[in-house]
Amino acid sequence: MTSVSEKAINSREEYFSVLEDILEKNYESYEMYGKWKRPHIKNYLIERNEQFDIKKVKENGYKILETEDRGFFRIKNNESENFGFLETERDERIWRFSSFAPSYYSDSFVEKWVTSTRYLDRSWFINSTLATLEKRYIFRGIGLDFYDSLGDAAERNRFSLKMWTSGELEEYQDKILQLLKDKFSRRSLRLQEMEEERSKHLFEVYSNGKVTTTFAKNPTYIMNILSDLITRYKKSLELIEENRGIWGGLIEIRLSEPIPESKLDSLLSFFRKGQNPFRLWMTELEKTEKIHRIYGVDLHTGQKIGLDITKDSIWINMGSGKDDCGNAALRISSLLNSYVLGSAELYVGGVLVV
Amino acid sequence: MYEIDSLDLWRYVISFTKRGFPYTPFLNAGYARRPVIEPHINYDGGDFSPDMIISSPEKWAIIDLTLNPEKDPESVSKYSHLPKNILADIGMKVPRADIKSVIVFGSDNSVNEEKCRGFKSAGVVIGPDGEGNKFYDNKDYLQDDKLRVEFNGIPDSLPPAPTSILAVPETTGKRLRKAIVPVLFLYIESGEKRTFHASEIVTELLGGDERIFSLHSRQKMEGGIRNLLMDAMQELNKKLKKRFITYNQKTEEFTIYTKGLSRTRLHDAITEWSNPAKEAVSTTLDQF
Repeated sequence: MTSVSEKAINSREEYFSVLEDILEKNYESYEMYGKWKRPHIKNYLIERNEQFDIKKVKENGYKILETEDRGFFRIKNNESENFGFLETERDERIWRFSSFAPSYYSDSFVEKWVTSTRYLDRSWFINSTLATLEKRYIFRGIGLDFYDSLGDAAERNRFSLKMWTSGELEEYQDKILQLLKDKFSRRSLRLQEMEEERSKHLFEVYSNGKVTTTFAKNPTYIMNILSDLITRYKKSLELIEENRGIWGGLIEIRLSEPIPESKLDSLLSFFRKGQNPFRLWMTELEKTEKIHRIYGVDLHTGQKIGLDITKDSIWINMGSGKDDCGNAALRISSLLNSYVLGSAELYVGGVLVV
Repeated sequence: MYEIDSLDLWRYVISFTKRGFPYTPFLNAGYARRPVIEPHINYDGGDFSPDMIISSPEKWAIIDLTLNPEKDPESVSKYSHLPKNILADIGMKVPRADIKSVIVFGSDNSVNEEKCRGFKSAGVVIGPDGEGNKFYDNKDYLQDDKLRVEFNGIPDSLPPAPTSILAVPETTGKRLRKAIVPVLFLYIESGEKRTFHASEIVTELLGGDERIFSLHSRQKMEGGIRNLLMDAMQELNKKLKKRFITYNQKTEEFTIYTKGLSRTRLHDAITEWSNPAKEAVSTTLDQF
């Protein structure tokens, strides 16, 4: 793994200085050759519940070290002093892990750390949020990833696609894109910011809360998009959490295509074992022609959660306690987009979450 | 004849307050304040325990649920004397105007036009699976025209109601067993050892809300749950070949031990316990 600096980075100032250096080199290189030199900057937005205490994290091939700045941690592993940096002060609910390491390493770290730790979860950008971002920034590409792992093993298919563009889409290209968007949900989006017809920021937002910066004129561009995403995400969480409990509005995933019975059984087998990625351990309460009620525990927080699966929708039942985390609704909705065809949009109290 | 049971009936009534459910008569008619379930009211020397009260700044409604074909009309008709200021005694805001409605929800067996005359109420029938729904108007006792319009438009077929709560005081048998399972999962996930009282399970079954249902109803549920947990203790300790549940008679507390047990093993054993082959799904007729 490439190390960007021999010296341990021990403050936000030092981190920003290294970040600026990487961005500057990449920007110059991109302006000159249309390519970049240094690794992309990876940021992962991590949803953290109040009960999570960073001081109690057990070392597991990495160390989380305090720096000179309160709330800013350096993560060291066997290969690098500066494997990653954790910002916990900017927002106490949504933490920011950033890394200069190649995706293979940083993705793997986040996946292992977050999904195996109670009170931590990824931030899950659902299809409608990504669709909103697509309108807000300049569209430069889309990623689709459909696992179909709920289907029969012999017939199982995986469909994965990345489509990039450096300019406006031709009519036929746009038709292809629309066709894909009708059938699949966005797994990632590549977006661009321009100023005076010059590119200032090119980045990719993934549905699992990862943001990769290909290049940016300076760190402000990165921080602005992360801030925008955090604000949006917290608004979604607030809306969901205001509607928890018996008297809250309906938390509903509307499916454009029903889940076939055979796939539903596969989905339930995930829940029976409490497997990732859903992090739900559930049992069947009732099954009729019209509804399949399942109930159990959200392993992210250890709180009760229920799903009512009907032909057109999935209702999420959660308690109204402060520990009942709204992230579950976003996680389930986002993950379903990878496992069922068509769109699975999240509505809370009849309002589309964007 | 198969008919809706009390848990499903409650779920429909709750869903009528839920923003986003396809049919929300209470919300549409302006009853946006949080309802109160099974309040105990003492007025003019008499005791009153309606199933639910909903209110808005201008009006209020008393709601009763029954599946009992023999229900005493007087048990509902007495609500017609209650004035709006009794809401102050149960922690609710008193509406400015006194537009009052009494509505009984039930099945074809328990609610019809004649019964509504005796109840001095309007009536709403929710059919099995939310189909074959009916509305019986009674202008003298349903004073809210907006609510009348809403119930006149009750669709013949409703989608299933969201789960909201896992059980009600009348839930027994297999349905109660199944309802307890997710709560056991919850305790299992809380660590290698978890001690609890049956009353904690009651709260979990009722959506984590300690304020809904009367103390009497909750105690009734608690007794049934304690018996089921005793049964679970016998069967699961045998099935899992280890001490999984214990009971302390002095403190009346149960303890769950999960060390060395995988989620899959626990899931399968508890699910099997909750699903005895011989017992039919049953709930008692409501007595309220």
